[in-house]
Amino acid sequence: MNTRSFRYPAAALRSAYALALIGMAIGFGPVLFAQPAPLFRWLLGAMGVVFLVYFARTVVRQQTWIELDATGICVRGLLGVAIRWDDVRAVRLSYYSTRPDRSGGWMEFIVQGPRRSIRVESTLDGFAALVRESTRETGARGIVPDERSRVNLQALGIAA
Amino acid sequence: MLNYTIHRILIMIPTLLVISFVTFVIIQLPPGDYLSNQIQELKSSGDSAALERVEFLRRQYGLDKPFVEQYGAWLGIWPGERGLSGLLQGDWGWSFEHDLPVSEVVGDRLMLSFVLNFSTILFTWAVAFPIGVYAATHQYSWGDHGLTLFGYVGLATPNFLLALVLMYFANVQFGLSIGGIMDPEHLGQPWSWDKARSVLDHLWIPVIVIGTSGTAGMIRRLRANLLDELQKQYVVTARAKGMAPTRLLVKYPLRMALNPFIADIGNLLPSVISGSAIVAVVLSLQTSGPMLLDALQSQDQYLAGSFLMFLSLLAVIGTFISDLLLAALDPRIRLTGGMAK
Repeated sequence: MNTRSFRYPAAALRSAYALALIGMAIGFGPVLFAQPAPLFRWLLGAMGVVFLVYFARTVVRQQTWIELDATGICVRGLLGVAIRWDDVRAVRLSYYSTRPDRSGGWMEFIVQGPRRSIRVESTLDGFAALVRESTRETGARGIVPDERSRVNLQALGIAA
Repeated sequence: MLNYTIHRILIMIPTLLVISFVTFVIIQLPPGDYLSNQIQELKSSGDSAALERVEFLRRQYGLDKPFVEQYGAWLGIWPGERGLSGLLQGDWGWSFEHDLPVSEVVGDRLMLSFVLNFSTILFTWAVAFPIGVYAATHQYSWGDHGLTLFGYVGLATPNFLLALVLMYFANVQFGLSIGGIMDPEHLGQPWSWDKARSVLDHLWIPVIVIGTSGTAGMIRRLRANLLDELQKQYVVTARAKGMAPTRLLVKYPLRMALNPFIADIGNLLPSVISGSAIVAVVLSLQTSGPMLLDALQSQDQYLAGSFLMFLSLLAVIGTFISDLLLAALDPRIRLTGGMAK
């Protein structure tokens, strides 16, 4: 297999930055300017921190790209991780949606190594190809996805 | 999951703002306000000192201000007479009917409501869970038929009617008074062991009355969900491979059948505080349900509005928690629904 690179597209990163900034404004704004009661101060502060973490993760993603080759999967850039196909313990494909009919959601692909995991979201350019290649490589080494992942893989047109 | 949590939080905030606005609109909809009615009464009795106090309260709580300013001040995002002092700052406002801060009016009742409704939820789960599992694993047995009958009777009987029937029989047959959530001598007294024991002594009747229909409904849902799961291919395969029945039941089908219990958490949190208002009126329970009804009837706007907003906050937080749990338990796409990006 030739080495292939995948990146998060600029549009997805812009929308993630916007969400993070809105969330931090709503969380930290009242704490700084509206003197909320202690309970609300903690709730809003915690919410602001969650969005701060999300902002930091978006920065990391902007500086990151993912590489696949015959030996394994690797995250290059900030907080890089590399997992050899032979060391993969499990692969999981999850689906999340915030709508009641579960439409319009997104997927998360997790490759679990001996010590660390690699998580990739479906906003990544070439996500389906990355999942297809990874499940093919891990499947060849006897790693079988769980029941839920199999249903989600079928939705991507990948037989597991 | 972080992405999911972020999206859910961002949905919660506008939801709460819309709820707060609708709540405020609803409590303002009837013509006039509590103080207007008071002023009419005081004018007819000629009590000028009380009239001055009412006018002071009207200015203090901005009842003479435009609607939007009143709304902003109530939320605590717009400075009123007392600066920024609203829900956000923990000031629930003033109960005009009780002539006390809302937090003091609500105080003890909130605790009692929590104890009563939380006990009811525990009762519902403790009874419904084993019965539902038994009914599903022994489908069409005598036990299943008997429990199904119990379920239908429970579902069809209104709680307040059950309360009235129980009160009647307890009085006529046993000479017992089962109303109230504690003995009258403990009402309004600080908490003590005697008071707590009195609450526990009185608790079982309302718990059974309020919990019956919920238990029956839960049994039916758990039975139906578990039956669905038990007929799936993976269960048949596991049986064919010789997996022990109990281990098979607990490992997968039961976990999947629990989804409705988890989805119920969204409704559970507000019902822990406000549930069973009608039963509380019938049984003369000193919980928050009857207080909310009184506040709505008398247009005690801060008491009603703040309490409704508190319940909405609990509902939104409950839904948030149940959505996170459901997403963690079952992150599956529905092939009949939309596709992932």
